[in-house]
Amino acid sequence: MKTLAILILSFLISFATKAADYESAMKQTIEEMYQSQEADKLESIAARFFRIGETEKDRWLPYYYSAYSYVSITYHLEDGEVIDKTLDKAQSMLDKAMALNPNESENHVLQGLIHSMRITNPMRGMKYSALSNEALEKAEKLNPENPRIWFCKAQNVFYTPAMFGGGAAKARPLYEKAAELFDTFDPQSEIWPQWGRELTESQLASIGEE
Amino acid sequence: MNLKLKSIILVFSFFTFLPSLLAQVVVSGHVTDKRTGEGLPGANVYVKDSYDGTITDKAGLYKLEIPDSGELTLIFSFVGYQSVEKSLAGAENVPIDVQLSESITSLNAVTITAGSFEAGDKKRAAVMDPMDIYTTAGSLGDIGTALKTLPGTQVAADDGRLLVRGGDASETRVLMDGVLAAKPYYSKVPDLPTRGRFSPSLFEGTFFSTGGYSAEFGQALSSVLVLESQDVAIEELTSVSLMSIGGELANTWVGNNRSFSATGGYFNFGPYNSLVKNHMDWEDHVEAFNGNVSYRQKGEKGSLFKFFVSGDYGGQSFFVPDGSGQELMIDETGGNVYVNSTYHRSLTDKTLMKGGASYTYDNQDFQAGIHNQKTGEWASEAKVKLISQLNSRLKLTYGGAWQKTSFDETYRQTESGFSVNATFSDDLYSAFSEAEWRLHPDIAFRPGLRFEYSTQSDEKVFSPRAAMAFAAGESTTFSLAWGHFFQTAQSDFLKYNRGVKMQKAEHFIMGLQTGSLATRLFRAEAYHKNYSDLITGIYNDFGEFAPTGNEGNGYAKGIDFFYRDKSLIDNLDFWISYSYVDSERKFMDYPEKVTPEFIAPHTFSLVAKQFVSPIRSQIGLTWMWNSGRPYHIPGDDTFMTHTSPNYSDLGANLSYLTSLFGQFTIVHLSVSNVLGRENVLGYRRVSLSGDAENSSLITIKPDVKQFIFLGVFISIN
Repeated sequence: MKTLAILILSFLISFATKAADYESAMKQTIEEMYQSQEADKLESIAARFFRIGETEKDRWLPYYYSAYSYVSITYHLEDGEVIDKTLDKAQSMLDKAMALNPNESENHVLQGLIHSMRITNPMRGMKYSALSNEALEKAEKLNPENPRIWFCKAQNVFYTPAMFGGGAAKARPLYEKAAELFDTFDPQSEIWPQWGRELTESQLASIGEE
Repeated sequence: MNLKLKSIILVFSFFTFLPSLLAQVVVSGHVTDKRTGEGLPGANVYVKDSYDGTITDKAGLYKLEIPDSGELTLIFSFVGYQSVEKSLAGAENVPIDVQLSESITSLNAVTITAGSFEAGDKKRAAVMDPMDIYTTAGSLGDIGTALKTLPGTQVAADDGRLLVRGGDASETRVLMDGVLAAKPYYSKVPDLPTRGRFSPSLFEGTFFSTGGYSAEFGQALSSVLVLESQDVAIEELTSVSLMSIGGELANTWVGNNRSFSATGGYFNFGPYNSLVKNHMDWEDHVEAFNGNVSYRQKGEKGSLFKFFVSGDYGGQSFFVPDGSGQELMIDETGGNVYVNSTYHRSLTDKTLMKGGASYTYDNQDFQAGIHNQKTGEWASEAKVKLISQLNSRLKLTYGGAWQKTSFDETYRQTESGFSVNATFSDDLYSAFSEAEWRLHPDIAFRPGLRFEYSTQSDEKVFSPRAAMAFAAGESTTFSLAWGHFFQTAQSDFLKYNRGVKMQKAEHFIMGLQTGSLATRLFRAEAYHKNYSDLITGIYNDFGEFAPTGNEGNGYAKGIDFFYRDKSLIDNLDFWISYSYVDSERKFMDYPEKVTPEFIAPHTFSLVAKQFVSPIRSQIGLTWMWNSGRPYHIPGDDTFMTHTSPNYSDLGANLSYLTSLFGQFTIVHLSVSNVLGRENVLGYRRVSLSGDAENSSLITIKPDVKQFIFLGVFISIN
């Protein structure tokens, strides 16, 4: 009896340690990701998230963050072809996250972001903005309280030329809605996605100045 | 502190420090692409079931420090490649070099490119984007005209259809989603170019083969053009098109996993023709109504149902010289209905079924002077295709089709009342089977066999086909293709003689493609084609061709070059095509084997497009040039010894992105023959009374010297 108790206890401890390892590894890597400003660094972070995902197997967040890290790389790139290749990697990671949790609003938001990042020339605008909006609509159906939906919608409108129905003035109410939801949003864990808040605030500040 | 506690702390701290006390193992090495031998930057190298790992640097080199905990497994992985695992026994500091091969299913696997041109988003063999069809200057949104800037095709400004590698216009078969589109062009009247029936906006991909195509396709001696229609639309959209020659209104409704769209248009060349100088003497200008509706629905297991129906009705009349100094009035009216429906679904994990059916009804009323001809043509096809991916290396495609064509024509002489009728129909059964075998990521082999049986000519034919591709380096492919191709005689011929048999061609193709569509791409192909059993005959009293047998034969051989560059100059995209063809044949009423009238030995085209951001416009130029075509002057002792002048046309276009009433709008301006050159396309023999010695020659010129097209396309969503 005693032996069994010890066995169960040690099993629970090892399980807890493993979970704690996961949480702490994720927390540390996420922090590094938000602070990284270089493509090389972000690429190795994306790879680390992938490794965590491959080890944990059934968790979607590592793949989600791997995809998000690849998307972050594209902010530092200019060549359309390299951007496409990097987004292909992001897409393959998101596909894994999506397969594990297809009804997670955050996954669809990230899908919308990947599509809009593919608009590297004006001729692509129509196709990918339609795809991006479609993904964001899906995300909204799953959780309309997710602030990142409104942040991405705002970004899409902000970067669409005013003559095609975009521009700062039209984006403003969307940023405001995002800002409001960021205040009330309840992340399900410490490692839940957090991105979008700072940029929402800085965009609102810069629109306000104009 | 007592001794016991101390020892406990000691024991604990020993365990805590244990990992760092153990020896570290340093593993390093080089990760390379198995195919190219080049380093793979950014590949993941990590210890199985742990978070420990690293990525390779720009040269593909890595260095990984791991605690020596006995046996462990290293995984090397890279997106689009097959992962490799390596066991590590212990503290051996030896370099571990790994070669990764591309996943065979990935898009980068070697593709057979011989003879084929694809326009699609993600195909390795693609040489065009779907947008190119719109933005090629001078194409006026016509699929065929845009494809004529690719090598292997003839300019043939008096035809408008696709003439490929020494073949005439009847030798190209057009399919929509894999099933027959029997009348893809508006009806053709002599000397005037015709246009494709289908708007490029209906399609998201185009597969154009100039020879050596898969056993899936038959009844084409030279070429197949497969149009892939759009999937389920994702956005509700209303579009309004206002053009200098007419207008079109379209709307798309989107539901859950389904979409429905409807388009209606009206075209009238009258106002335009009255503004510009025209070579034609019009009675009634070209006028046409058209419309189409389509429905798409996605279902379970990736199934997709598509339904499309289109119809049009229109006519034109004009005067042409009859060759004896008199004018002859040509009056043509006609209508067409086309229905196409397809269904795809997976039957098992490994087998996909594609089924489809199409129906075409075409009605023409053609009057030339006192001659009246009413023609009705029906063509339907039902086809089933199964694709089995047996394993990652072997794919089998097999299926069958039934095609029924019927023809009913009544000729009447308006003055005498003399009339004759011709009616016949043909059932053509076919079956095919093909394997695509990837012996290696670098080698693909595609043998196939096709069987066809025509009830009309009571012939059973087998056509063997084979193609092969080898990858050499990261983006270079060598391809070879060979095959036998059969085609029954066209209806226009069969009406006078139903005894003629199928015509035959044999293709040999050797090609090289290197580079990528995103940057620069080069392709060169050499081919040889043998024609046999070509239809021979005479022109009858009505000036129409009446076959007498299959006594003809011929050959076509040549070289095609294609170069496209998007990276040389920022925002500039250009391509150059050059084709050389040497072809002779004895067919129709030719007394001997000569180069036929529709062949220009040298064809050159240059297409350039530049996006100019400050004015939000794309500016395009297209230059097409071909050397003269042969012609025969009736009465000459030797046949077909003259050559027409060279042809040259420089077209320009401008697409301006803007907004009208807050809606996305494209203004499109296109001008053909900017330099105002007087082109002579060729000369046509006209037999006055079916007597070769009494015939005369008509000069064929472009219908309009210069065409100006202005269109405003508004998208409302």
